[in-house]
Amino acid sequence: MKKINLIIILFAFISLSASAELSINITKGIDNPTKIAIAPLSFYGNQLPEDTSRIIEDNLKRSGLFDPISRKNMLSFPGTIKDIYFRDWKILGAEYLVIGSLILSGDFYEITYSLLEVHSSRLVFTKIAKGSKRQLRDLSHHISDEVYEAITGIEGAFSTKVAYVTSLKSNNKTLYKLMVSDVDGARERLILESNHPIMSPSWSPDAKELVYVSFETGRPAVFRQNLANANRKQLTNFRGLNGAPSWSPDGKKLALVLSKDGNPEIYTFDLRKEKFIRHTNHFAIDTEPNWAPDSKSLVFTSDRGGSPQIYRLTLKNGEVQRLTFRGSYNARPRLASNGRTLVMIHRSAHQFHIATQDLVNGDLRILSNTSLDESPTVSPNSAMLLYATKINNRGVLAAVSLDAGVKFLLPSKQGDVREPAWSPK
Amino acid sequence: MNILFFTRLTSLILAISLSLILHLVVIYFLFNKWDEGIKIQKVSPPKYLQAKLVNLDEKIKKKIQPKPKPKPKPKPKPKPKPKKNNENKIKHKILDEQETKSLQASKQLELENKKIVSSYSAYIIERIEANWNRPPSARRGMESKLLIRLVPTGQVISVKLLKTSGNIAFDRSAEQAVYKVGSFDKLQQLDIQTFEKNFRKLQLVFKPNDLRL
Repeated sequence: MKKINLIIILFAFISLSASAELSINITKGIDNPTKIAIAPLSFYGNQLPEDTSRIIEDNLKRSGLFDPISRKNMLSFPGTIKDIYFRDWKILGAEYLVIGSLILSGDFYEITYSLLEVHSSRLVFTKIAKGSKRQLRDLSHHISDEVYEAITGIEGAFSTKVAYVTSLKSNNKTLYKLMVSDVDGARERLILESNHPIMSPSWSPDAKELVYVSFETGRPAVFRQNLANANRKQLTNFRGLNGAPSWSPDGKKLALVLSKDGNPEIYTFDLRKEKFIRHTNHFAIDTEPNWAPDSKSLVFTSDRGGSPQIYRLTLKNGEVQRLTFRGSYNARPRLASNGRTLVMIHRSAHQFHIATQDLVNGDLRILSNTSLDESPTVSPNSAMLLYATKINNRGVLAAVSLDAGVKFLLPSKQGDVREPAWSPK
Repeated sequence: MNILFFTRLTSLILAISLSLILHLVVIYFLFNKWDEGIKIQKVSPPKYLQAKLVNLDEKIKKKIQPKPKPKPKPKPKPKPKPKKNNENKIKHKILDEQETKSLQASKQLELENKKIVSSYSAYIIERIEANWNRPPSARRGMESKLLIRLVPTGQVISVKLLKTSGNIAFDRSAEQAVYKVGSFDKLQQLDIQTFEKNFRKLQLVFKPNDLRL
């Protein structure tokens, strides 16, 4: 009997020690922008051509996920980890701190930068970024990407570019320009200038080429242009509509709209074989094709159901499936790289808005509060989108995060800006 | 071969018996300690009463009332019985009654204790939830588990990741939430035993259920 008692006690003791800790479940939280401090880069020597820390600060702020601490409130500007007094940053409410130091070695800049957690005084990472004297802005975007990814768990998209078309009227003539710039609008670069309309730029997956529609031959034609050497090539010269080219994510094909057989239909163009394949055959208008991330299906707009709606076309078997059912106007589809979020123009209450539809659960969300919104384009990390809108009768670009938490306008220097296309990574 | 096997067997038996003896010693020691532990618990009630006054005044009054209720129930039963049974049995009954009473008292104590623990747990949850800033990559179904250590002032002295959610940013946000709270000051109100038993080491499970995706 005693032995049994002892055994029971032993078991009781074991089970007691196993369940010693109280377990508490945390199921809710807040989703505020993260307070981050980006201390000015420390360096010796002349004034730098770019304020790297300011670029990082602006990038993070524009993402809508960060609330950078103003530089004038900072109590110190540490350049190395041992110079940091975490208490100073806690007082400012910072959750994270970015510090860095720059040295010039030969013709190269070398930035050593660190991300730190303020409340736990822990180092998240220290990294080194190297670049030529002309690449200081690229280095800033790269650092922004690294910091963004470490904190949000989402790949950054600050190192990407945007293509867009500007138009400026003067003396009864309109000058069209195809431009490329950083996503923050800096480093604008002219790609093509014409007295005839330029439309629908689309990036190659390696971001080295663009396809677009130009009217310079007297009718719309699709061109392909290399950004580095400006080599260009005309791809289509059919009667009627030649439009809305979209480069496939695997780089092999273009999807486009041709009306050479009488009625706008969706085609693909094999870039290597230079061969067109027709995919739709319907008396209604089929237009605005855009690729799914796996390059196996397309989304497009069609009015075959009586009103413009978005459909998905599976290339292998030609199967067409309707995707949108809410509202009497859904057009200009763009599939985000997550393959799940469909971005489109949605008309509600006689106004055109940017909306997203979750293809898994069907949720429809209106993201923009302006009217006459057009041409949405999604960032490669599926976190933001750019679109064209009209403010005071002038075409400008606007950005909105896919959760609609942040919206801002991109300033245009002159004229109307339209048809933005966000580059791939 | 046989000899070798035999020597091995004897050495094995020796080792086993030695470990058995050691185990028995440990168990005997535990047995004694165990008894003492129970005695200490019996002494503690007044302390708990003080703790109750801090937090749950109304509920204590309600809990004191049920105490007299169980008394009348056993009483009618013993009344007819004494006439037929021996005095010994009566004594046994009284002892039983005392035992059940003390059992009820300890059960009630346990209940009170649970109430206190859950009310302070709720306080901890509230503090952490107000400081948990989830990254946009957080999704429903993610779960990370932390082990935190506290001192009686309520201050967090260590945070350890026990189970990752698979998303580093998510894990970091959970750890950051605890560091941001820094100190659970209200835990200072607890008596030291309750603190030691429940709040010295805590497991926190971060499992969002209020996200859209």
